[in-house]
Amino acid sequence: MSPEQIAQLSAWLADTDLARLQLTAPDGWGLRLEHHADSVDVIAMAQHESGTDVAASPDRTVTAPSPGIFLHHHPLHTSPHRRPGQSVAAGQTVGLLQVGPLLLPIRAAFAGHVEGFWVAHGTVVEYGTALVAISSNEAVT
Amino acid sequence: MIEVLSATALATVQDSGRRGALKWGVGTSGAMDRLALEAGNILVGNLRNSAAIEVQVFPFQIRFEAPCTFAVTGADCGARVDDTPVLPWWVTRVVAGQVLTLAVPQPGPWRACRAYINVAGGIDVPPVLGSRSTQLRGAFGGFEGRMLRQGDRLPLAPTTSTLRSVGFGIVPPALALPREVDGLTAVRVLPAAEYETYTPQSRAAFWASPWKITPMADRYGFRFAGPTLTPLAPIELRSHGIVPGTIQVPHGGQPIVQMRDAQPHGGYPKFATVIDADLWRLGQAPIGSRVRFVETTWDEAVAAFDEVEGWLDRVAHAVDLQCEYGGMRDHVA
Repeated sequence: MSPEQIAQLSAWLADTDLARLQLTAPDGWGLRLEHHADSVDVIAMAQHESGTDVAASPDRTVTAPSPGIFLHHHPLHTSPHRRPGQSVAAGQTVGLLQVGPLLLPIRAAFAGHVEGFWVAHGTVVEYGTALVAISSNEAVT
Repeated sequence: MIEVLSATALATVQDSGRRGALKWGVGTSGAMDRLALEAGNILVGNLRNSAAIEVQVFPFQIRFEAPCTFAVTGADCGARVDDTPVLPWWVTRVVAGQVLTLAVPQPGPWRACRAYINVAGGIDVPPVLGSRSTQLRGAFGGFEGRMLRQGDRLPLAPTTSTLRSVGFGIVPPALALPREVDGLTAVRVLPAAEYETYTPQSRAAFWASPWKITPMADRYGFRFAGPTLTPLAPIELRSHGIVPGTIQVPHGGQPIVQMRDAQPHGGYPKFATVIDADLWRLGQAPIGSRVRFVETTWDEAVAAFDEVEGWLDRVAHAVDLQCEYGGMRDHVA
């Protein structure tokens, strides 16, 4: 990406109410633009293992795929999908993200144990916010 | 095809209702919780008034004979596909042969009593007078004009929605559009023709008291228990037209709210009418629970209708976006 393109993206971001613009290439290269009150900071992102590693979070963290309200349990239920200490299978739902009227599943990307929730039930989260810490099965044994 | 496995009574095929047939003396029928039916249809990619199965007695069990997409809305009844729990108000795909079981409605933040099984394509029974709803009194519409029985095989209309995304849900309207007074479900009500012929004390007590739903409550109407409503003088009326939502007061002074299978006429005094926009709240209120009646105006009733339609429109828009851009087309059960 050229400096001119980055300047153009920065100018577009400055005209919005958005706080952050992030691009991640398939090879892990990335660019993050932070929109402050009167400036846009450009932060180049180092290559990393996972394309979803946004909040400089540990490897075994499930992060928010979009802004929304993080729910530990379905609004008609009272107990969480998985409690800290419980095992999870890869792909298993560990929470929900409410986006407008929609409820989207937050799934564990790998098998392991739930270590805990990074944010409380009902918290408004941004793209990339760390939601659930999961320890791998190898680490537990 | 889906096959009914359980021998549970009172389940029927219902759509949004048979409108425009009152002039022939044919009642409206239709889902007791229209929002659950229509939101469920939106979730699986159907027209909003497609026919679904309304379940009132649990457990209830069906088998899918072909792969399909479904959503269970209404009461949270701990649904399972084979042995796997599925969330309420959630789009799920099944393969041929899988069995869906609905258990007794769960306690939780919303106490409800009726569930809807919405299947992509909709239940393909022939429309009668413009509707697929079961008209039990006339024994037509729905599936052979009757309640479902063990062994019934219901045809599904073809659908293109097998390409839509699954594995997401919506926030139920009871939580998105809450309406309570003193912790009880509240429904908005318009005073009706004979309201002024009751004593001021009766009128005041009607609005100020909790009303308990007696066991004499079904798709035809709910009988309530509370303070006695007393007319200023005895009232004698000829039979006249009534609609779902009409609140009548028989001689005992305990009101009846007409529900979806109401007959089209009656002779009891009409005290008030539950507005159409809130009738679904009553349709989900279990026997033994208590509700409050809140006086409203014509303008507020119209605005309430717009609020309900607006919620359905927002759900439809969000579901369309999810199916177009959500990219979660997982083909697991």
